[in-house]
Amino acid sequence: MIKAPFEMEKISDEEYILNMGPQHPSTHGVLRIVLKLDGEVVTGLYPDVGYIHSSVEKMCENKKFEMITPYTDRLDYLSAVNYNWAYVAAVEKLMGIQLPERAEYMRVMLAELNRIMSHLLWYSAFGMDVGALTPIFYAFREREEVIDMVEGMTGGRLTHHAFRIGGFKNDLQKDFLSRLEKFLAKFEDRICEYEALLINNVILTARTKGVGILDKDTAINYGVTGPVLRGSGCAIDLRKNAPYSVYSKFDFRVCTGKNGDTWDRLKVRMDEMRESAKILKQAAAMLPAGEFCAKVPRVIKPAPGEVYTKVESARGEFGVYMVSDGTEKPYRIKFRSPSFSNLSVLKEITIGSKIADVVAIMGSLDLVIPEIDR
Amino acid sequence: MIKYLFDLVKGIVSLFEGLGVTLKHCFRRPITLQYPEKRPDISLRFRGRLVMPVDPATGDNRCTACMLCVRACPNHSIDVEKLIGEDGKPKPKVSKYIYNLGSCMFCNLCVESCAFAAIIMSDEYETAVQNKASLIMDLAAEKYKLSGKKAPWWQSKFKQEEGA
Repeated sequence: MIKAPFEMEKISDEEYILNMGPQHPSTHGVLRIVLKLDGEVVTGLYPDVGYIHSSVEKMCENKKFEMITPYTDRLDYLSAVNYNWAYVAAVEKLMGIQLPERAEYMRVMLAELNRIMSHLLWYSAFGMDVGALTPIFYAFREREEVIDMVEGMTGGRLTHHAFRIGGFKNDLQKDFLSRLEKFLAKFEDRICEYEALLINNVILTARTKGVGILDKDTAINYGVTGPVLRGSGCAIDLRKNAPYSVYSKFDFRVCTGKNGDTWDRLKVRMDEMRESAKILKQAAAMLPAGEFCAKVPRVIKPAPGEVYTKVESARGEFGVYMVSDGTEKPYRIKFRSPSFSNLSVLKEITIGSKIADVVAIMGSLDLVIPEIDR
Repeated sequence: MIKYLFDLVKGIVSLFEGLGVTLKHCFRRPITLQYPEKRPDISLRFRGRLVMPVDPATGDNRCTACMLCVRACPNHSIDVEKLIGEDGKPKPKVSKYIYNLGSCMFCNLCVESCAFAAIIMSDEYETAVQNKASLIMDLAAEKYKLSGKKAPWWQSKFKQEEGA
């Protein structure tokens, strides 16, 4: 049963209702959060989603398989490649397409660049949320370089439409590897700068340490994934635990936090950028020559059946469940989006904290609204 | 008491660490671009709005009105009308190529489906217009002249990527 928002409930004289959103800058999109407050302390919380529901899943039922890929870009405009990947992998799995080695490495590289892109934006937006204005200027400088690299490869800045069923449309551009090398050479130093600027700052640590503690069991019960789960000390990363593509060949660490508070989630994301840079370095060194697209039939008609594929996106486990009935269009598509389950845990970790902490906690969850509403 | 002092010193040090980062940036070269005067270097594969360029070899577009792009478009942004000859029979030539910029999502699927490389996503990114009606345009009547680094790429039917 759906619980009614607090407006319907009878509340005591001491408490009052406050709407946060739908046009609140710290919700990063159109998300409304109804807060029940006692003074400054949050006693109840109700996230009201669905403002920008676009019924992507239903739309996909009327599109041919190759047409759906650009729609998956728009679920999460910050790490579009990972979302492409889950969908494209689902079709490939149904059709039994084996990717060339080069395409797999190219996919890994684009996905990791996207993760860096997404985390850099999260870093700058989180700084804005808690009142630090400088991080956005510094992080966007590096993000711009990454975007330029991915744009040169795919043609799009945020909605890349990078993957096609069976591989890629274009090979890497000629100067991609040299640009990547140049970027990675200084990126490590830049992450250290970011940490000195914001993450280790005494004011920020005072605002985030011990705030919004999410323990391991609650996280698992709510189906929380990604950096939020890892911040609670649970070392689950699909790239390590259920390695897809060529991720098993890379040497990287699953970053975890200890206490599960807001600061741990920040730290996990900063560490993850380092690990992504490490994967990129290895992938660039191991990149084989050869074809970048498998042989795909002109008309894409997978055999009847159902399939579930999942990838570790920048926000957590993104899964695609697809049923095909043997025609050119899918019978049903269901997207399992990480932000939705990450949002659902907000109530558990926010109640009892101050209203200013809600902004910090929400920022640390790294929500993307189109993906919640779909 | 000792812990309090320790935290105090640590806090002050962390503040100065952050300030050191900002101080360092005072001596770095700015990376910003004075936008309307100076333009960024657009990459070759960038997807701006769709255009149907005039082939300088023939002085006409390459479109044969085969409707492949219409079928490839995910959200029906393209509508093609065939040229009807004087004898009343349709000719393999386009008379109207209606493109709806308002619903286009720049996915490049139409360009990829075209067998004659008649259309290309240009490097035009300032596509805002004053009223909604001007978002719907006739690309065949526009007689767009492709220039810049996309031109040789398009001439070679997307085979040679020079300067990529």
